[in-house]
Amino acid sequence: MNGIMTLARKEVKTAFRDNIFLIIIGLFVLLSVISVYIGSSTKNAELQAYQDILHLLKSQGATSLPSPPAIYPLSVLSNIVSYVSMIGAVVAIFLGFESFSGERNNGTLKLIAARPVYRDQIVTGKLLGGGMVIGVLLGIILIFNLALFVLVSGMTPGINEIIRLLSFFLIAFIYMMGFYAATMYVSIKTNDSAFGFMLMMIIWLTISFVLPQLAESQRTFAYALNATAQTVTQVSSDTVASKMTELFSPAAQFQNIGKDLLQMIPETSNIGLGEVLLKQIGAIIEILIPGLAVLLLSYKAAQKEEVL
Amino acid sequence: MIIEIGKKEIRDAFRNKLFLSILAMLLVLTVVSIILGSYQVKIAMDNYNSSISFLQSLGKAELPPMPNLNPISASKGFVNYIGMVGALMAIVLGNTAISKEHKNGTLRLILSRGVFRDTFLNGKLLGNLAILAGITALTGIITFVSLIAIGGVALTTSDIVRLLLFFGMTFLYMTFFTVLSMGIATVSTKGSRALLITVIVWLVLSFVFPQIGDTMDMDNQIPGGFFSSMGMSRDQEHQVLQQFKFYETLRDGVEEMSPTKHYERISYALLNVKPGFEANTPWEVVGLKWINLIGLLAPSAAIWLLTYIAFLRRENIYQSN
Repeated sequence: MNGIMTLARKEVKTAFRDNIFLIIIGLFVLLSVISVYIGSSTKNAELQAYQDILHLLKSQGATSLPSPPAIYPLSVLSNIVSYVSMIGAVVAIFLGFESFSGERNNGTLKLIAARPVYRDQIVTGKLLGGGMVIGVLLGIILIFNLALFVLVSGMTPGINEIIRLLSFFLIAFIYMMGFYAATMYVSIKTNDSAFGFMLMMIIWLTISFVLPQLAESQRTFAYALNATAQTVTQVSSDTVASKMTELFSPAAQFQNIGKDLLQMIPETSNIGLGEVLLKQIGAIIEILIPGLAVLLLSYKAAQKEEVL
Repeated sequence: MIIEIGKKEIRDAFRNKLFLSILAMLLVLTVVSIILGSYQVKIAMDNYNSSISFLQSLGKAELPPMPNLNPISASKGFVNYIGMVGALMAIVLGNTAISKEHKNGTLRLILSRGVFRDTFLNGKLLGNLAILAGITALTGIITFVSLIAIGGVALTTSDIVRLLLFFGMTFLYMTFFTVLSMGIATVSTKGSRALLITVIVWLVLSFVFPQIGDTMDMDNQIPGGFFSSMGMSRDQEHQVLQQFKFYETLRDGVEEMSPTKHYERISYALLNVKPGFEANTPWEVVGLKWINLIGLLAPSAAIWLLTYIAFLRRENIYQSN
């Protein structure tokens, strides 16, 4: 256990000494903070726009006036879903891409293996260290988000909202750890860290962008007629093909869970956490399984390698 | 000598597994997006017809205009794939061009021959631009053949010119990321670090700025659109947005910092994905969207100039990676 903790502590120290990694986590924290501010400002602007709309319609003699937009407290934080899905995954890749290949190239992996540490303990230590870094990072973002949320929006989250928010961050942690484990596996299997990094970037691009884009192109669009304005809006709806394509993308599943938890979908905004999690159980399993699979593969690869 | 260096670049690129993997991915996505795009055009046409029938059965006199079903809009998906996958491929190409010479120790060898530093850089750029031009031409041919063979459509001269201009923009967009990647690799002393920095810059330009712009878009916050949910017509929407001119200018300014957004805007206008440019000739569209063209050209030129200055003046040029 001591060996694992020592390795984990070393991982944390190494991560926070790396300037490039500090830049990317700085960007991640900054963006999540900005997103809360922008989200709150946009909601305030929307409310202001609503007042302007009422004024305009009244001046035009309209009798039928639109009801105010429904604003759920956590939807102010909704942009964090996109940032964790995109930048959060990249942070995990930056954290893990040199976890083994870097040690191998510096010659320190042989040194570690020569000490009384089992190979599985090396993997566990690296995983624990990565988990600590990701946990600290998400913890900082959670605190910033909550503080800014109260300060800028002027709203106070209730216990239900806080539980939803904590659940979202827990799932974000699992999602990011999945990417970290996958990157660690690639790092064990390749000597060229730059190649491993770019390979993971291609996988990330496919999961986070290409597959959701393909799913989007498979959705059908219906035309909805607004009775007040006589305007026609395109409304998209899922098809079997779009749902099937999304199944291959943990990023799309994470976004679906995030949208429900952060009250972006009006239908699920007021239901209990249990119901939300039950609704998204398939998506949660889909985020968990690839991470666990690559972790097992990492243990196997580390055990079987002749020379680490 | 420039030609020789350029030829070597092309040979090296086709031995680079990473580049070949991304290229294969891009070509597959091109074919998939064109097939799906052609199919979407057909579905949209069917949906529109059924909506019109429904509205007519309700006795509505004001019917929605026919959606944009022009065949070249089938390339819409391709814009998004080039925006991400094409940019990543260009980054790999640019970074490898410089870092491999440092890593293999061949930079010293090349510059000890009768090759000036500017010749070296020009040869590298020429070779990589030739590769990008080849890829653009190949994806263009795939698009033209697919549209005619799968979509079964006859393209007008205007459509052909619009598509050619669109592929020209695609080339400029990928050129920006190759130049950026070469520039950072030239300035940096470590190739792998340069790659990481370029990826961060790419993330900021292609994901972060457009995402901030989306976040600041009031109409984007509610599914189906905020103004539509309020029952606002286009004119009323414009009147309300006049009150938020500074806010909208700020949002636009953030988006203008992203070459990806410039590429998307000019491409959508050329492909008639964005309404309002159907009546214009292809060259008029380019004229109307000149700011986006400058947004693609000027950063590449500026970065290339800075790369020249940095490389020509650099003292520790042989510093190993």
